[in-house]
Amino acid sequence: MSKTKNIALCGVLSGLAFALSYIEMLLPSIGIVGAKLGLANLAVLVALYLFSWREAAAVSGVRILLSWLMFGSFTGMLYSLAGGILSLIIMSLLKKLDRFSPIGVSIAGGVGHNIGQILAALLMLGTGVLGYLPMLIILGAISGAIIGIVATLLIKALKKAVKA
Amino acid sequence: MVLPNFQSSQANFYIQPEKSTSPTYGRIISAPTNGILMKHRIKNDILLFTAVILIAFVSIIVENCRKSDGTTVFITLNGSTYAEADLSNSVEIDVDGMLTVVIDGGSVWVEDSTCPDGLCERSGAISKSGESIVCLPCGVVVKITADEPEYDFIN
Repeated sequence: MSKTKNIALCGVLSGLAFALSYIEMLLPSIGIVGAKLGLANLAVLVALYLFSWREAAAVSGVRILLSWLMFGSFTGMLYSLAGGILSLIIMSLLKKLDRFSPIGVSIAGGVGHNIGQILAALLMLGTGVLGYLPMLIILGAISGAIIGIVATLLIKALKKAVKA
Repeated sequence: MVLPNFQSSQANFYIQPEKSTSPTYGRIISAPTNGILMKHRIKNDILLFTAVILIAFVSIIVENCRKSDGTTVFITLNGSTYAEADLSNSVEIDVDGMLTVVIDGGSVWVEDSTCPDGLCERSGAISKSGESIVCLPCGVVVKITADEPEYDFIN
């Protein structure tokens, strides 16, 4: 696949991440602070497996930037950024280890995203937020598993297109 | 481009046909289509999942056992202490015009919140030491403590 097509595909994935993040916003919140489903991680994971961590970082970064400019507050963006960075680091490392399938990587990514957000909230608001950590970890793991299954299908389908 | 179909688990599942001199950006990592979902990997996934869930459950149980009846209500705004009140009071505290913290009958809850998601109001009432209500958009944390500190990380 030519370089231009790669760039275009990354652009599409970024748009997908942004659209998913908007849909996430529309869904009713489960009642726990920042318990986002991490749907946008789908696009980041696909970018990670189709290309490399650099493209995945770009997709994630563009998504965070766009969400901030269109919908969010500055502090909201910081929480997203913290979650996104930690999630990306964990996902890249796990993928390099080569011991997990995209589902496992996605589980770890979802958990990492929520932990990153809690860490950021810890710095901003103090230790009161730690009470939410166990529930967020569980939700992150479950949503990560579901996203991972969907992502695997996407990766398999797109791999054939990318090869062409 | 025809790739050999590796079955051995010792093989590198991410096969790069040639070591290209081009930069990493855009380099396609090809693999047999069943490569990423090998059986031993799914096993590891399940292990990871159960480990994470177990750790979280254990911390919930431990947290619940350590909970005792609280004595003081701490309200912090963006990390710094805004107000402090005894749990046995019956008061309504207005936090910076953004929301109202109501303390009554040994419970604490939030009313009249101006934040967009309203999670703080919907999370109900707390009464035990260690429990907290957080309003992320407002930057407000309402925490109940007992005489001895529960979490002693920062602050």
